[in-house]
This record gives sequence, structure tokens and C-alpha cells, in this order.
Amino acid sequence: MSAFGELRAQGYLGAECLALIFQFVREEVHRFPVLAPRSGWQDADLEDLCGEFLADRIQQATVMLLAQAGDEASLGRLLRKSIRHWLIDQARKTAVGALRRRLENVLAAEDAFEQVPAGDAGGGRWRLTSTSVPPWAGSTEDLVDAARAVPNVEIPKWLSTTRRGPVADRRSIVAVAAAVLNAAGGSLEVAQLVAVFVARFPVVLDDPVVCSLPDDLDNSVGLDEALTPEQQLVAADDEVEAAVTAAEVVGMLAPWERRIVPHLDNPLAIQTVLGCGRSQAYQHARRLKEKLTQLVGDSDSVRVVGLEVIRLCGGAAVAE
Amino acid sequence: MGDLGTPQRFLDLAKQSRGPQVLSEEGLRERFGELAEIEIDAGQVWRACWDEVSVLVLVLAVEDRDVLVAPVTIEPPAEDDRCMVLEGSFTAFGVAATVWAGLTCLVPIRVLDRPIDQWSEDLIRWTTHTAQGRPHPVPPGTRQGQPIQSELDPAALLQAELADDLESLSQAPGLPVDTPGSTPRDLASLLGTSLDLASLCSSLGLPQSEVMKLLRGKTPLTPDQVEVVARVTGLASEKIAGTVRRLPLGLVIQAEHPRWRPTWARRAQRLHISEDQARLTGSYGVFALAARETGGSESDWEQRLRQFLRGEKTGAGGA
Repeated sequence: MSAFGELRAQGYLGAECLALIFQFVREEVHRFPVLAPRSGWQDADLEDLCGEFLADRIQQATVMLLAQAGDEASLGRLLRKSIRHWLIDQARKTAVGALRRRLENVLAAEDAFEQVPAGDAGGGRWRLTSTSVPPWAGSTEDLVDAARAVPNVEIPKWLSTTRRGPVADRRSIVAVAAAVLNAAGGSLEVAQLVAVFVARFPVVLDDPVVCSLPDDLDNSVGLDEALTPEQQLVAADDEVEAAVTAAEVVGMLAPWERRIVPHLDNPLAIQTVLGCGRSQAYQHARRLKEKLTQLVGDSDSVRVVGLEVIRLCGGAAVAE
Repeated sequence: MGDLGTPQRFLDLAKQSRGPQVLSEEGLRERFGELAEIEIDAGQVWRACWDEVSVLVLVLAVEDRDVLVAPVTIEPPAEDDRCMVLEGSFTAFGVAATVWAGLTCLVPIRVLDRPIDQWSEDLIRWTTHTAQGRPHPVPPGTRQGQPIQSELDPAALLQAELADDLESLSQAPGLPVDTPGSTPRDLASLLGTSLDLASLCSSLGLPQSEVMKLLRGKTPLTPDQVEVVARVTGLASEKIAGTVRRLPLGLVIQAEHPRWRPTWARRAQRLHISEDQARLTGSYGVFALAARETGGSESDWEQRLRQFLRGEKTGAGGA
């Protein structure tokens, strides 16, 4: 009996449906290297992952399939989509956990911050050192605005090829946390700080698909003959730094993201490249622009880095 | 799992997670009656599907050939600030469901497949008002959706996928409908003196009687046939496609009603053609039958459809 026939006859997921779930989990999980165990995926790991999916989503998935699937093929497509989005959520959860640990480490190690003593109002929360402030209660959006107002935030080099990139360098994390606590005028739970950082750096939760750059990328730098030798030296150094930063940014993009970088203002071309619908093409463009904005940062060389990213991805880097 | 079979704990969990009985075939029949008897109405939640797309939609208004709908999702969970999230106890689903008022659009009635649920007036009102940009308090038992925080939020991708699905549904091929005042030239008059019947018959691989129907616009040209005729005659494909006589609105509305979808699907399977081709050729068969019997005047098209399809089964009909 087909999985669809089984579901219609029984009203719940039977052995055929469960086998499909296992197959789709096995196939889809390889899109999420951040979820992979250090020793790679074994059957037992995959079985555990299936168990987690079922524990989380089986009731909703069963109802959705009963209501929405019209045949075996649509059941398969809907089930795969459900599993893919669940895996995205799992990848984001691991990122939030990593972000929380990173924040706690920085807050504990920096003199600028201290924990409110137990027994005081808001005990265990974080505040700026030597301040006496009440527990904060306000709009998270105000704190996110304060975080966004911090200039020159830098994304550090990303050396791992399997793990998610760090949110920002230590200096930037300290600056953003201080700005947020200052704007709050009160003490904050770590979870509240995490929520602000997630809103400020959504890229940290993005699919951490890492790929290596081809060896033969042309990173040569042209020099302007009209500059003095000293100016040429400074310009060359700037351009080399921009090129290196751009290469690091490109390294953080998934292969499919690199393919659409040259077409960010041309959703029709993105549709062709990715074989997706119009709305998804627009969304991919907006999403990648936001990701690049986060990765490139807001330093003085942002424009040069941006153009270099486009060039490395195969596009014509036209200055506008 | 895998080679060792499905663990019993998974089978047990699945069995404990049985879907609501009202979503079974029997349950749906009890609630809505036979598909053939169903009238489409505001407040109904339908499964809409075409090709590789399958979406749940809440019907907000019904027109001749289209319905105004807002998509409904159950899984994966996602929402935006123009969504309403309903508690499980408020619907047949028994789990939370989300209606996306911001994605409200018209889709053709021909993509509706099966009614799944019936929602109350206050849910329709909220969705309609929100779709029109008129804020309205959410009804009891529901909450307004949370905004999408960033383009990197997975909900943004799900929203885009849903919008593309709706666009695919809206483009599902329909029947060519006659509009008052339009009288397309048939293929015979378009070709005029350059008509080479023998060449057409051989190029199309059809007997002369079938080619004559095509020439008179009494049977539709398939896209492949349009291309063949264009190649043989040297005329533009668009001109060739425009020669097919269009169908009366009354017949089109009947033939595109979801009550006929299972019939078209069975016909498609039997003739090894697509569902839209089965509906197109079947509808022209009905039209030709009606023209023979009544001279093309207004007919009871539902009765004509039944008569034609019955005749086709017994070998007495056919397009």
C-alpha cells in the first residue's frame, strides 16, 4: 500500500509514511552541516533525529497531510517541506545556544559588565559595572535600535568549514552589549540580550552552509598610476584588505547564494538560476542583500568589499 | 530504522497521533455530502491543487469562475503580522492553524479540489478586513500573528513559497470562454485559398473528418497541433490558436466546477492526457453535442455534461 493510501485508510502515519520520513530526514539533513555529529551521521543519529521530528511535529504533520495531500506525490512534497523547515528550526536553535554561551563568556570576562548580586532586585541579571539600576521592562525594539546604532561592527574571520561563523568580533560584542544596557537603563536577563543580538545579527542564525573558494580566483589588485608611492601603498593595502574581506564573505555564502549575487537586482534572472517562483526570487534577493549587509559590515570600505564580493561571484563589479 | 525496519516506538507514537475523524473521507462526506452536491460558499476551507501545488484556502467570496481566498497553513508553523492564528479547538484540524490575510488573492474555481472545513463569519470578516488594510480586532480563540523580524527569518521564505504556490494556482489553464461581441474567425476562413487539406491531414496525423472539425473550430487545437499548423501554413501560432470557437460561459462554469474534477481526472487517466486536456476536449464534445441537438442555444449544461460523459462511456458520445 502507498503511504498516501495508508494514511487515508488508517487516519495516522503508518510504516510507509514513517519510512518516507526517515528517507527525507536522511536526504535533507546533509544541507545542515551545523547539525552533524563530529563523527558524521550514523544510523542511530538519524533515528534519533527522526524521533525528535516525530515528537515535535507528528500531530501537526498528520493533520496537515490528511487535509492537504491529494495523492502520493503531494504527500511526499508536503512531508519533505515539513522536514526541511523543521531542520532549519533545529539549526537555528543550535545557533541561539551558541550565541548565548558566547555572550555569557564575554560578559563574564569584561570589566565593563557585572551580574546583579543574588538577593537584589533582578539578581542574576547583567548590568553596566558600578551602576545601580532596576530590572529593565520595555520594548525590545528600542534595544535593537540601540544595537543597530553601534558603528564599525566587524564580522571576524571564519576559519571553520563545518561550524557556524561567530556573530561579531569580541570588541564589537562588547560595544553592542554596552550600548544595549545603556539604552535599557536597567538590568537584563541573558535571554533578553540574546533576543536583541538575534534581531541585530539575524545572519548568525542563517543556514551555515560553508564552501571553499576555488584556488584560481583572481585577486590581483590594480594600482592607480597617478598616486604618489605612499598613496599607492595605502591604496594597495586597503584594496588587499578589502579583497581578503570579500573572499571571506564569499566563503560564507552557500554555492546557490554565490550564483545569485551577480543578479541581486534582477529577480527574473534569479528565477532562472534557481528555478523558483517570482516571490521566492524576490525573497532570496532581499535575504541575500540583508545577509551581505551583515557580513560586509558598515566599515569605510563597505562599498569596495561589496563590489569585490560581486566580482568574486562572477558578476561585473560596476561602481555606481 | 532503515534496513532494520521501523522502530515500534515510532509506530506507537504515530498511532497515538491519529488525525481528527472529520478529516477522513467518511467524515468529510458526513459534513459536506457528496462532492457532486457541494456549493462553494464563503467560510469554507478547501484543498486547492493543481500540478505540483497543494494549498489550503479559506474562501472569502465567490465569483463566476474565481474565488477570493486567503491561504491557510498548519505545518510548518510560520506567521506574519497579517496572519490570524486559530486555536485547534476552533477548527476541524484540532491543531493550531494560520490564515494569511496578507496573501489574499483570486484563484480560479477549477483548482478547488475538496472542502475540508467550514469557518465562522467572524473569521471571514477579520480576514477580509485585514486583506483590505482595515485593522480589526481578532476574534476570540485566535491571536494576531507575529511580524517577520528579518528577511533571514525562515517565515519569510515560507511566505514567499506560499505566494508562489498561489500564483501557480491562479495560472492553472482554463477553458476558452465566449465573450459577447467576439466572433473568432475559424481556421478554414483564416487559411482561405491557401488551405491544403491533404497536407494538414498528413501533418496532423488525423482523418479528414477530424481535421474538418478543427477547421470549423468545433474541436480545440492542442498546443502541439497549433505549432504543427503554424509550421505547415507559415502563419503565426497566436493567429492559429485564436481560431478555436470559444465555449459558452454557462458550460465553462459547469465544467470548471470542482464537482467535475474527479470525472476529468478519470477521463485523463483513461485517455492518457492531462486533466486540463481532458476537460478541454470533453467540454468541446459537450458543446458539439449540444450544437447538434439544439443548434447551440442555451442548454442545461450540467445535464449535457452528464449525457456526454455517459455516452462516452458507452461509446455513443465523444469529442
